[in-house]
Amino acid sequence: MTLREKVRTELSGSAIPFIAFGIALNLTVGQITIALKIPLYLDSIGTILVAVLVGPYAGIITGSFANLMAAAFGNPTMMFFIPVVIVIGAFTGFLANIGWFKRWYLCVLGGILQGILAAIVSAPISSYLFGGTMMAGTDALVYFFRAMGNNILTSVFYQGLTSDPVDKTVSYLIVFFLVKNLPLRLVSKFKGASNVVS
Amino acid sequence: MALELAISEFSFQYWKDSPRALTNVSLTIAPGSVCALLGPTNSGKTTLLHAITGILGSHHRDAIASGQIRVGDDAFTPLPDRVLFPTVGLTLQDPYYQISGLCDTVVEEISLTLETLDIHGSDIPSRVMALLDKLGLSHLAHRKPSTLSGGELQRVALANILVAQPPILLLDEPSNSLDGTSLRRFASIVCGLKGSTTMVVADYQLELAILTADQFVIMDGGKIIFSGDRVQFIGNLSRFRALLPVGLLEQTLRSIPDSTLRKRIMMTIGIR
Amino acid sequence: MRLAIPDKLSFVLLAWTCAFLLPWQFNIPFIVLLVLLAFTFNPFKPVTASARTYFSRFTIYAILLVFVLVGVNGLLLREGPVRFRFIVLDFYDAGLTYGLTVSVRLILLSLSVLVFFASTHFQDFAKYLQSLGLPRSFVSIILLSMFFLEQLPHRITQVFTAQEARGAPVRAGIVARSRAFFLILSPLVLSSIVESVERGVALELRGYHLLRTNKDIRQDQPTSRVWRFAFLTLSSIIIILSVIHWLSN
Repeated sequence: MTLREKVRTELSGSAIPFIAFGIALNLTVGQITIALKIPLYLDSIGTILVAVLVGPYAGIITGSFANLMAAAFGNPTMMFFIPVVIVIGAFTGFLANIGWFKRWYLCVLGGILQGILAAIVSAPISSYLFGGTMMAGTDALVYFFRAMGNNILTSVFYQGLTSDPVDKTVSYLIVFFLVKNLPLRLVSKFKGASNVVS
Repeated sequence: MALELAISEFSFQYWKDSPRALTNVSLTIAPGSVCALLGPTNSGKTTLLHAITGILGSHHRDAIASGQIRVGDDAFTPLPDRVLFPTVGLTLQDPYYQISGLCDTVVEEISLTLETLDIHGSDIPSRVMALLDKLGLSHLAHRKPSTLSGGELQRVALANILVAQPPILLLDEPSNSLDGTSLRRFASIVCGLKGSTTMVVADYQLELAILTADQFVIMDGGKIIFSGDRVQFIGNLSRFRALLPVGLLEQTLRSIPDSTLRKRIMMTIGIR
Repeated sequence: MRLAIPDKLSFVLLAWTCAFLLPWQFNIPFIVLLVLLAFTFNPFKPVTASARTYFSRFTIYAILLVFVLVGVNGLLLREGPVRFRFIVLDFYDAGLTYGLTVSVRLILLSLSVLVFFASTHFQDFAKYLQSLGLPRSFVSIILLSMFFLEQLPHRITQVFTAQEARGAPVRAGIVARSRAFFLILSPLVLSSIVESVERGVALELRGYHLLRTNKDIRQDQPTSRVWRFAFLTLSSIIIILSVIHWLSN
């Protein structure tokens, strides 16, 4: 199957509005985390949800369009992290395809791996373009690692390792339980239904 | 040009161990007539409509089905596996979802249907405007679809489908979002389409059906339990008290102030 | 005067070329120019009221960014001579320069993107991409997500209130609040999935064929290509000069 055909298979039926919802969810989930004072971003939840229920290409589209739109709506630095969200969409879709979203403990393991992968991809961007300063609370950790004698790239990577796996594991678990609670009738409408139903 | 719609011995279940959603459904609707498909929620009305449009066949490839669906001269055994639009048009229960969310005005929204069918031409705007006029929507032509009321949305959703002039039109619970006035207006639109379009009005309420239908079918538990013309249907109304809001109809009748007229009508339709 | 989307995109490309290849001293005037253009030059002025607020937010971000990046790196990157001393803190030359380089580059990169999007309706951008051959389903995704973006914050507030009213622990400890997060997200996702399925069916019912490109959409744009030619030429010149400069060193 060519790439175009693979994308075409994923983007049929309910996938288009669902991807659109995933994008909007990525961009608005902050409204809930801030209101509940949860110290995590969880801003890949839409991408993960779409990658699990539809597939990796849909996940990639969700993540990259969400960041593009975030850039368009006043947050231009989000644009530089499109490579990271592409990896998140692709890797989550891959894990879902091999059945890792059928068991909660596999989700935990997958979340940790995803977090490490995200940290590896985002470290060069954060260090080269941002000099390790994201203007967030996590910057303190980067400065701590730098003060310990590490260079910027390594410090940013270490910081990523302390926060990304937690963020992604929690996101994975939330998506796992969300999907588990969905009526089978609804799940069966999606291409990735077999990813989550035995 | 209206087409005949014929369904014979049609049964359907979503997957192997699930209960049957439809069992031995047989139904023939004459070209250009209106068939009211009545029954409570979960009686199989929507499933049947989705089977006719091809949505069911294209989405549930592992489903188990038997029988035949015939649209004009095209027979599908057991059911169409692709969407038959623009031959068969369907409006959904909630018109809000039938608004694409992609367009800024009602005119653009309706033109989108033609665009997706690859119909281009200089006469499109006038064709859309003529349709809006016919449906009493001209004053909303440049409004944003998401700002419309339920009744207005229902008519825009209908226009989205009608603009492609489908010979067969299926309406899924159209009275959901209609109040008294808009319901009567909608009924007159449906009556105006008689002759040129074969229509199925699926509903759990009776008003629109009574105002428009030539043929009445009642479904329960995925089966057809009654089929007949208007006189037969009204004569048997009290049998369906448990399934349909017959009481509401009775209430309306009882509110007729002229007691002689009221008694005569109630006698005629078999309510004591 | 009007600039079409490709002209503005070439301008962004020019800004990015400068950001990556020119030293910070050159780029500061470019940033000032961008800000001036965004406030005085019609094609670069924000098109909506909310787009105007992006600038004030970005300005605060940019100022803080310069201070933090320059300050922190001046302290942590201990190379070269000490430029100045603040109470007991020594700020090193190399660190200060590095901080300035990174912050000016980041501000120019981001600001050019911000100016582009603030001065362009996103729908027009999507339609432009479609005219380039992007499948229509992609454009539909963009337009539909804007539709969802309008609805979602309101729906979140509704679900939040509903869950709070039935006693969800929205103010308890972190574990309980995480459970509340789930209680809010769950109905939101359920209703949105139902909506997605219905909308998907509705689109299909109207014969919406996926992944078809629509190249006959043409933007209403001036035919002159002078501007994009000028911006692209300038970018090329900067790239060539930088390569020559790099080779000669």
